[in-house]
Amino acid sequence: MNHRDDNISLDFDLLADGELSEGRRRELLGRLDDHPEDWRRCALAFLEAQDWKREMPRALVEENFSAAEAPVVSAPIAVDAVALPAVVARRPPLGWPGTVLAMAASFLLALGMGIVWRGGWHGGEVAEQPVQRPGAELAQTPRPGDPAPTVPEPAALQFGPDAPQYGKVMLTVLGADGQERLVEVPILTADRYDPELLSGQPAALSQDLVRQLQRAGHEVNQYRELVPVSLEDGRQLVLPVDQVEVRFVNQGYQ
Amino acid sequence: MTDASTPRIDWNTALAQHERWLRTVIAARLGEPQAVDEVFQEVSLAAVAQRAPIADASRLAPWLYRLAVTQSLLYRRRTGRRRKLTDRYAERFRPGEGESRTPDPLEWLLADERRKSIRQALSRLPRRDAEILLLKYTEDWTYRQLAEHLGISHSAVEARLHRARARMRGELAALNIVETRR
Repeated sequence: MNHRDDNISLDFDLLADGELSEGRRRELLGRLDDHPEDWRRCALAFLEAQDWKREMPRALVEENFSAAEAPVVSAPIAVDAVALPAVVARRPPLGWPGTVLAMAASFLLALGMGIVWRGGWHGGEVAEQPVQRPGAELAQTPRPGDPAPTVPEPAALQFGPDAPQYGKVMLTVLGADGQERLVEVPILTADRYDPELLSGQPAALSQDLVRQLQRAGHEVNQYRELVPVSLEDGRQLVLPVDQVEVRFVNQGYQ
Repeated sequence: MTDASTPRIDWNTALAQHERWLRTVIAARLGEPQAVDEVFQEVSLAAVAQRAPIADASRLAPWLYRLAVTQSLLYRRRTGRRRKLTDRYAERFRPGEGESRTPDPLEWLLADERRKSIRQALSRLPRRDAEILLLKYTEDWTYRQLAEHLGISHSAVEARLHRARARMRGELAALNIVETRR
């Protein structure tokens, strides 16, 4: 690359970024008039910037770099079986110091929470799928043609006199469509935080459903985050939240 | 341990406010998405512990940036042996710096696999280059904002972005050539 090429390439990038000063901008446009062949490079710089702006955030999300938006978990509005006080609505940042401090606290582990939200910062191509988790029923009516949701065996649950105490809690979940829905979530009261119990719960989409979608030309990615929520009485409620991205990728027959 | 000269900062709020771009920095530095949570946790703990106390609360962003870079380097050191192997592989296949041909983005813009090639090209860039490109294009920051967060000058941002873009174009062109030849 020669010096002129390098300079003009820099100027085109600055122009596309809106960072070129008024003087340099005028000078550049004057030079373009003398070298009309450079208009092509100028246009390509804009198109490239537009594409990188669109694709890089997606590349980050697809790589699960987890800089994505916070999931939408709002305050519970009804409580059953376990007397829970009002719950802090917003998800704290993952890895926040409180997560570590919470290790010593009494815990409520939500065993059935699954939330699907739009993946990616710019949305658009991501389809939403209904989620069915063991013991959790979403207030959602199945549509004709929907694949039958799989209800995996709750192998991690124990019953008997020494079994941990189970209960349930109602959470209000704000969907991507902006509508609030009540979700009944089974919970386990525990005296220690066991991430494996939650991360070992079955995924939001069953393997069968994932295979069906993949056969139909979709790419399916599922990610799980364990979201701590502080209760007013000092206990921590930990919710497993699944993100599901379903994207049509088969372009072979277009 | 903090003392009277250390500014008081609400770390929960500060970390929540800066979490997203710091995660992007860590991801770019590590190239290992599964490690981002762990390293961000280390950053949070180091910030709260104030082992290297922040002197000026108005320079919080660059201070956190340096902390994120340091913790990423420490993580990489811990997992060094495996990392060296992959880095050597990436180095071997990196296009020459002094290439005389200006990579033409048109071929890449016309390609079906743009997203995939973006990911591949990013993973082959030097960490600092990937970092500034990801911050620029995911946060949509101006050069001034980039300079403020990274604690560098406006002209340094311009130079770093220019160099990173040139390398990115080189990688994309190389990938496109490989794809075309298949």
